[in-house]
Amino acid sequence: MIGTPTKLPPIQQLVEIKTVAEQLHFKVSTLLLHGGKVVEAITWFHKHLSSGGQLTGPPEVAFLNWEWLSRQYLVFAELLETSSAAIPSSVSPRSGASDISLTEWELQPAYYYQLSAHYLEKKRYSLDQSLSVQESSEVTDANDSTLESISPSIFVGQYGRLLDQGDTFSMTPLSDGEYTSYALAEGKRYQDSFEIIALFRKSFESFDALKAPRMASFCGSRMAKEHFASGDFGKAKQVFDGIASIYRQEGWVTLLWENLGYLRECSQKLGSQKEFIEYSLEMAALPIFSNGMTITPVDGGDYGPAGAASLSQREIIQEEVFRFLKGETISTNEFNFLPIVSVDQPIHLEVDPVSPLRAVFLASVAFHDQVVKPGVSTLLTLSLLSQLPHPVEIGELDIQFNQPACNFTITGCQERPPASKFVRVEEGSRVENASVLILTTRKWLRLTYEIPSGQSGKLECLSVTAKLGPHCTICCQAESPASMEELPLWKFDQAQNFPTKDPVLSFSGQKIIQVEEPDPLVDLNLNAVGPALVGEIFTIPVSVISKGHAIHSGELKINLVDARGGGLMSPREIEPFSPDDHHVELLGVSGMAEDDEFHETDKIRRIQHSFGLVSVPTLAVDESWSCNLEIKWHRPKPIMLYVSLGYCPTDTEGASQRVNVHRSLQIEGKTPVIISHRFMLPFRCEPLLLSNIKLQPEADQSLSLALKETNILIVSCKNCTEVPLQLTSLSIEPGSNEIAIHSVQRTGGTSTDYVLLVPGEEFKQVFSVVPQCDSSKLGIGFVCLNVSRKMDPDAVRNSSFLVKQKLPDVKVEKPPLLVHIECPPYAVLGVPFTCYVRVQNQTSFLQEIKYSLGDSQSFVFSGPHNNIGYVLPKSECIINYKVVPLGSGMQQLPLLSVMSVRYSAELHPSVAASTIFVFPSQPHFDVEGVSNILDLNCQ
Amino acid sequence: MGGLFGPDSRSPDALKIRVPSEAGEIFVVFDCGGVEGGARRWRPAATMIVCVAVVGQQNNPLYLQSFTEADDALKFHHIVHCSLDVVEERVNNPKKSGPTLNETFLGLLYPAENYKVYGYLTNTKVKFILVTTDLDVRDADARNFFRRFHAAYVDAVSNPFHVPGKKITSKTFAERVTNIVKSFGSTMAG
Repeated sequence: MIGTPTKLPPIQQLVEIKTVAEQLHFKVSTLLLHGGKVVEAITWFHKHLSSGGQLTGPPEVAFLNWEWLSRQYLVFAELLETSSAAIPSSVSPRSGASDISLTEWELQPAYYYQLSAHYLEKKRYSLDQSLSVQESSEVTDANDSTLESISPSIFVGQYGRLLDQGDTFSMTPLSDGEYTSYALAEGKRYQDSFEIIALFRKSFESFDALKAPRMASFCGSRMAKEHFASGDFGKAKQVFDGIASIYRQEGWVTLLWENLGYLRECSQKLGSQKEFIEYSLEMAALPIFSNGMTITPVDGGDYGPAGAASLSQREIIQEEVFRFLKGETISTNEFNFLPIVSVDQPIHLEVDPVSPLRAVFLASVAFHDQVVKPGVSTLLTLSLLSQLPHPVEIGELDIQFNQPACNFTITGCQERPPASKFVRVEEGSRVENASVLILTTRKWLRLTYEIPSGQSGKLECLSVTAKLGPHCTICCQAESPASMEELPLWKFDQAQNFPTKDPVLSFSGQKIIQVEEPDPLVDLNLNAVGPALVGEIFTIPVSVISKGHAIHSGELKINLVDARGGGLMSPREIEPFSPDDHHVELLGVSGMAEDDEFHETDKIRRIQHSFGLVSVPTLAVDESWSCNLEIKWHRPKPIMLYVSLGYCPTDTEGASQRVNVHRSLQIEGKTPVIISHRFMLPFRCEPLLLSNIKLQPEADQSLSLALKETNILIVSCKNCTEVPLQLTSLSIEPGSNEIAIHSVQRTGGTSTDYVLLVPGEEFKQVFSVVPQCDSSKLGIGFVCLNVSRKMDPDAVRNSSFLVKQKLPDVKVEKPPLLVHIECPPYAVLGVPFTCYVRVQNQTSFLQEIKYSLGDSQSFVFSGPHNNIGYVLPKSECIINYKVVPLGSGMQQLPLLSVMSVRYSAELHPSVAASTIFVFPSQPHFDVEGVSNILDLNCQ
Repeated sequence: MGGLFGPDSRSPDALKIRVPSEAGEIFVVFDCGGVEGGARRWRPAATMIVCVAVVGQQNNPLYLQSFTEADDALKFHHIVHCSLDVVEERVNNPKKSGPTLNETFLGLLYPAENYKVYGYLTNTKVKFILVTTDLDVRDADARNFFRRFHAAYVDAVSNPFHVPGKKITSKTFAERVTNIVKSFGSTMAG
């Protein structure tokens, strides 16, 4: 500004300097930002501010400086915002060419918007002061007319008075006094409030988008204050409400206090009773942040409408709000928009576990027990805590449960109008008296009462409602001490005592108690004897005997469960339903006492394979009823049988509770008999079965039988239970789809009529099997056994059941050669006898056979040791030896071996087949006696 | 004739100025006699720190002390609270703040109006915030201050009667912090 042609007065010179500097700065910043040199631009901006911002000028025009600063910030914020696309993202605040490190926010337009708003606020404050000074000096009026002719001159930052001189206009310079008046008059014309709000809103939104919630809430709070100052309480309240949560969450009580102070004032101005009370109560219950040193707040500090946070201020607020609750007006304000709390305007406050009002009123409820029998009363401790600085007197407490019958009311003894008490008694709810119902600050008020247990199930205390004034109630959700969260702001200032007298209960108490079912006065008996046998219909008698309870609408539920787990179904469940799929099956319920009425009406009877539902008739006290469950086992398997009886002890439905009796029984299912079998060939008859010669390792191991020859089948059954069994019949049922016909004959064994098998005993029966057709797989059939338990003679029913077992398939083939050894039944020492070997050729070929006879010590024989013979087709050849026994007793005949050359098969008769008994001398048999004995046996 | 001056650490109310001369050194002592205004005018460094704060893990205030005459605690509550946004930003995006692995000193957080806010983050996520009016604080001084402040904090919370997470109300701690704040000025001047 050296060499200024006109000599401006100091104020105007300052204004001019700043205006020019602003212009230059704008150009420089724009150029730098367009070049992407953000850090340089910001550094330049700081330099510009530090040189211009210190030139404040005289106090009456200080506002011009603030306005200028605000404008610098605004312009730079807008420049930064518009060029943000050009800013490379790699720019980080702490890097860059310059040594000056920048912080994150200095790159954000929001930061400059916020400061712009801040300086605009300062400008307004300064302007207001200057105006008030001006008004007090009263020098303005004189210049009013002349001020109108002042306008900006053609030179940047200069002002002059426009003089109308006929056709021409000329500018005359101004004095500083005139300029100041002009600037003040101009300043008055603008409403800065809107501008401030707009700027704060912009920075609030930007910071919010930048995930800087605290900075955003700071801007928001200043914006809301501006709204508040301009009288827009609705908007102010909305913004304050939004930002209070972060202060609550992080425990910045001083900031919260200020915030709530504004909110309280806003709700008062808006005439919202309830919110006014809520904010007042929250403030009164707010802890004070201090460093242990008592701070005396200086008056005049900017603390908002509530003043600085202090204990005395809390007390004042509490007194005020409680007066208001009692129906008085708030006397402090001349403009009172709040309606008075009255019958028409009652107040009901709700406190839930996340409400900030928990600090005002906290209700903890603990039952002393976890479970209770029906009809027995239990103890309940109700604990109330308040952080309000003054003691709170409660008129009445209502305790609500999920079972309304248990609800009760506690009243303070001192003031209880008899009329209202009378009304309560009529309503039927319980009223208790308490000597003291005053909540002292930070001390649990403990009230213990007996509660009659309600219906069975869950009994839960829901809420506690306190009556604070004639028309004000505060309802607090009951909390269990065990799961109660600490008051977030009072976390480290614990109450002076525990919520319950028993400290254990203070940590484990629950607001829920389980009310048990009433004890059943009915006997349910399951009388099963011993293990069940597979195949039989096992009956389990069930009896219901009433011993004090009548039974109404009784139901018997039956469930069969696999005792080892895994279910009762076979793995082939998906297949169509068939009874065989079930290993154990509930067949039905029998033996119920016939009752006609019962049959007709609501007889429920649903029987499924493992589940049954049977209704029980109405029984009076001391009556009984019984039935039999019929269960059939298809496989040996242990099961659990669950039977439960549910009934109502009284006739009236709904009101009374169902009582349940449960019984269970494990029953083992056992196989009654083990059936085994054995095939044998006739004595001294040896067919040549080719399949036996061919030793194929992978061939099936099924037994081969000779075609049209008699085979012996021995079937034996062993009682493997622990009870005696009675065999009614044992037979073989030929396989149904077999083409081959084979005759099965019972050829031996004892008579099967009423054979009694004691545990472990075995019974055998012999059959002869003659296969009639050549087949590689011939089904023999099933062994069918009719068994029954050996019952007592007086048993009503002796139910026999069938045990069926399939015999394995056999292979039937035609033997090419058949060797019979024929010998006398016995021999006498020294007496020669003849032994024949008959070889039958059943083929149509000539068969060459080699046979040999070994030497034996006990016999001498005549004939060749080795020889070859030929058997013609379809005929037989007989080889005979004369043999003389040399020793007596059981003697082995000379070892015979027959070999078929064609089949390369050799036959060695078994030891049993080649053994003979030699008498020392000719025995004398009493034929008559023997026949008598045989006769007896036959009979 | 140049003069060096500095506050005498032994008596804060007296200011001694050493004037070098040919005949040796002449000490000129200004005794302020406990008059506050006099002392303060000569001690710009002492007023440099305007506020210190300790903020807990959950961003809850544990200690906040302002060192100004004016009743502007509320303003500092706002400044400290806002600085937590920057602390969070620095912790979440450590790359931006350079090679600061295991670095507790966070440096300048942001300039606020006439103040500068510095931060320090302990391993237990407790934050120390320092608000100064000085426009040119050396990093080394700030680090030194935080180191001593941290030590004082550790001593305070090591008190067996201190509940972790509770705000610090120890008077000893407050006195110690005041001393550290005062000596911060003296190290600057020296």
